[in-house]
Amino acid sequence: MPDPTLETVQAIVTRYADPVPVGAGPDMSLTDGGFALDSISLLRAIIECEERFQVVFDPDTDFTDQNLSTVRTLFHLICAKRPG
Amino acid sequence: MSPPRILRVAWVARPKVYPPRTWALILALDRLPWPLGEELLVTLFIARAFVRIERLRQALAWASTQRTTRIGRWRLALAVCAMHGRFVARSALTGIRDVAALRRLVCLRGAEHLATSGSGLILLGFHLGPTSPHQVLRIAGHRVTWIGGPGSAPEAWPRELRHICESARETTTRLHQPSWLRALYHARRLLMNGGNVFITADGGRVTTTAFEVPVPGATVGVRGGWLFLREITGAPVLPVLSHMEGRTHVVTVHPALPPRCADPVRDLENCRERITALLSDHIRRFPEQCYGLAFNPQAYAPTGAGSEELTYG
Repeated sequence: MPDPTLETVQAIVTRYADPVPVGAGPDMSLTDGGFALDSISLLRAIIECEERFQVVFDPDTDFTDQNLSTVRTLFHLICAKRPG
Repeated sequence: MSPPRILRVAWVARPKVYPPRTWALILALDRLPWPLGEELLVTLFIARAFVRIERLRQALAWASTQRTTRIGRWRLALAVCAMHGRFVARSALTGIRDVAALRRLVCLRGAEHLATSGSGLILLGFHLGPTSPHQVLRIAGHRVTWIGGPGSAPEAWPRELRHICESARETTTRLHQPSWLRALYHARRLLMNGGNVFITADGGRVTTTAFEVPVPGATVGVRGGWLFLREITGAPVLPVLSHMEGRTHVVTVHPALPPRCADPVRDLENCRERITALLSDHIRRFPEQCYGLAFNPQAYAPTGAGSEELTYG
């Protein structure tokens, strides 16, 4: 199981952004004013992260504005869900 | 007969889809034996159209797309207002207190399509008739989870009907992105575990549409949530339409949409064609029941981003 890195999470998010924002970075908003992901694109990215890093999210507690605010917060969420 | 709702508890548990004044009226009329409360609400909604003239104007504008004569337009406009009152009464189960009473007032057609399609189904609803068709499916013995929309506390409903009225998983507006994410994520999990979900394709604030369906007198914007679920789970999609026949709420399950094809453009077109045919036929037959189109035309226009959220009052 690959270890998540900030770069790989950003690469996944970038794949679902259309268009990719200028100056895309880990602290840019995933939604408005940043990557501009809609619900479906964001969910696609989340599902890909789940499969890639072998984590299972609990939507009721994990899908919050705070956790889904930037690439970095999503990366921290993934790290927190990893065993050990 | 089961006792009516406890007023104070039901008042606090008001589902957000009902404005406070409408909910107060519903709770008051709920004390009357069915169908008195329902019929009173029908009459009140006709009368209200002459007070809230904007409603009457909207109904007449809708009627003008469906009828050519002046008398025909007025008849249809008043029928829209009357039907709106009936939908509000029925959606809140006004005067209906137990399963036996509700069972006598509903009818499920096309259940054979559910049987032949197996499990893990997406039941696709539209705001073109009486609300809460998932309740009719449940009372007919089909397990289905309603996805999206504001939910409600169990105390809002008569005690014996709470299992029929059980809310969606989500309790906040679908425009709040994390809540809609949660709803879609839950739906995906349910489908992958063989559960059936009920999700609407239209209505409310249509900010982005997967495609638009031209129907008589309007354009219905179809959202993409159900298409996403279909794509990632491979679940069959069965359109579900509902209408009133007298005082009976009829829910019709239609045959599944064509299975996904490799060409995404062709696939979308296949779905659009089938849905267009279904909705066009439904609107021609029941224009007086399409209150969502009559009272919220902006929600269905291509530029519906600024439209109102649908409410029942």
